[in-house]
Amino acid sequence: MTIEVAVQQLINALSLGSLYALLALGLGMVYSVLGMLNFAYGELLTVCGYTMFLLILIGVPFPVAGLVGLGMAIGVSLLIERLVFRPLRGASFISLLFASFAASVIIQNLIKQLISKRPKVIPVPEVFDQMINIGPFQINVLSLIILLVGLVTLAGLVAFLQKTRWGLAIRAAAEDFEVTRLMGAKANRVIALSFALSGFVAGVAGVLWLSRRGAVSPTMGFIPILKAFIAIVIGGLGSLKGAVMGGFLLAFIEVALMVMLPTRAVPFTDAFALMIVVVILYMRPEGLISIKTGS
Amino acid sequence: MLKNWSRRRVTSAFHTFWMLALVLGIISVAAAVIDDRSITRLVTDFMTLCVLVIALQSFIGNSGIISFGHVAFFGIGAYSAALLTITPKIKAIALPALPVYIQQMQVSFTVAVLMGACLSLLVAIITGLALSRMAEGAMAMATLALLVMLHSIFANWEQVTRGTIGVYGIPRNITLFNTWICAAVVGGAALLFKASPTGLCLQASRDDPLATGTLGVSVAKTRFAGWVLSAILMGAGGAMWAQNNLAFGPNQFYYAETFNLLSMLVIGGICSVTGAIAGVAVVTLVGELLRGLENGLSIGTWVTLPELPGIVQMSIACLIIVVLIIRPQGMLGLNELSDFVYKRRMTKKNT
Repeated sequence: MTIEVAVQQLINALSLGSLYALLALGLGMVYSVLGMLNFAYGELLTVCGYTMFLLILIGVPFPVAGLVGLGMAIGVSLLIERLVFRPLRGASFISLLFASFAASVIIQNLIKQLISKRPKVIPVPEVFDQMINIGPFQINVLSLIILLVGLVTLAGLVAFLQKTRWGLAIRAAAEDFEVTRLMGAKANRVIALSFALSGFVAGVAGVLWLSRRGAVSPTMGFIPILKAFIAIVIGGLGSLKGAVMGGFLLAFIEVALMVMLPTRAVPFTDAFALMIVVVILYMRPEGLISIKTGS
Repeated sequence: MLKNWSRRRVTSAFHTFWMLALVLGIISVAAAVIDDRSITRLVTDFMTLCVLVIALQSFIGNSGIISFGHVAFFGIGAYSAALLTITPKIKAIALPALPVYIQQMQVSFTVAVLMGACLSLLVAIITGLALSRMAEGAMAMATLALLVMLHSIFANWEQVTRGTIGVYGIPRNITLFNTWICAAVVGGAALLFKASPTGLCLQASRDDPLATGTLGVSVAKTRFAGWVLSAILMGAGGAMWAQNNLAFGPNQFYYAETFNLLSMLVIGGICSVTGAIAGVAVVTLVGELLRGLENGLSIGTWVTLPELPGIVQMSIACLIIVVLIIRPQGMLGLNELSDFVYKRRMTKKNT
């Protein structure tokens, strides 16, 4: 492999990694505060995608549509929290999981009925497909954009979590929710905030995901949620740092397999990637960063 | 070995077993008396689903760990039944790359069900050795990984599964009688496991894994036992299902089916075998009632409802949320059928 190809693949891996890290962070945020896996998270991307699709259809430019889509993802995330998860506060892990499963089915079917059952194409700005030359390397513009947006969002979120009072409340709730409440943080507000942030991250990830895929379909949320789920489990459930690391690790495994596997084995890439993930989990059952030991 | 069995648990499991077998038997006999094709089909579908959901219950209910991977065992059972029961003539055309001895083989319903169970036992042992050691959350993820892995095998191993085109021409070996036997046997096995010492240890690990470990029980080993048992039952259910559905493709063993089976279990009650059957019954009834709506409906000549695709799935999803809010443990909670009968007898004695 030449050095050029290696650098291009490295950029690919980093760009995919920042996307996965975002997805994982959004899912991990709610998990660390409430201890629940929100399967309706993938549907936030779907909602964002369809909002953009409808807006672009009536002639709104791509960036504006993206922003409105982002807003919709936050809104729907808060709405799900209010309608489904608040009545179930304190229910068992499995109950919450199934409630989120059910919420995701309801959203999917609403989209099927109100908009369309079939996949729809979203026209993506042409710039995204071009290549630019940096020194001797040819790099896809979209990969760079995803990498930049991903890293900026991640940095912004980290700053928010580290520097503000609200961020402190979320980090404290992730460690011990009861004590956080005793310190005077309002439970409903912290939870709503974590859902809003989760929706925000899903919206950003949704815009980036769509720019890669260029199409929307009612079941498009399944793959992102799957990747996010895998990433937070490799990283160590409940750890926000672990979620980001898990996202990057998963992307590196996938890109490495894509490069190294022979053409005949390419359909099995996902299967191989998952096999590696299972091996990692077998070695470290608590994930990369265990919240119990904190190391 | 036998002395660890609790007499009370086994007796109550046995009571539930014969009552459930009786109820399912009455349904079968009723269907046989009516002798209508669509009703017979409905009942065989119902019994097959009962087997699958009970198999799911025997792991999830006892261990408290959510598994997304059981549909993979369902697929293994279904594909092995398909390969073993399709006539050699069709196999020669559709699956020419199969080894000759499999191509010329054609077995009966019972053998196919047993083979489906054996094959998924094999896969369960291999996967279970790794899975049972993991923490709860990681194990749930790993079961999802199993589902995706096996789906990609079903969809891409074209010599054996015909890839995404799917297999066809499975003979309809299923009858009201043999589905009833299967459902009763699987129900009995799940009840017996629930009452067994291993099942009790597994339930203890569900309620508090740490405390169970300190009492000298190997949590990993009991989880392994539950995993393997439920995989066997799931494989058998898959083999039954294949001989009821006659043609299928890999996408039938994926996300949608997982949701479908899990929703029945959650509505009925995760911790109860009776609940599993009740869940299947409720979801089947809701589905039958609303299926008319899905294709549009006219009431009189004035009101015409539009076609509502997906209304069945959506109502079931709403039903799950409502059940979880009102009864977080599902409709039956922790109760089995015998508990209701017993309780009534106890209150009669007291008054």
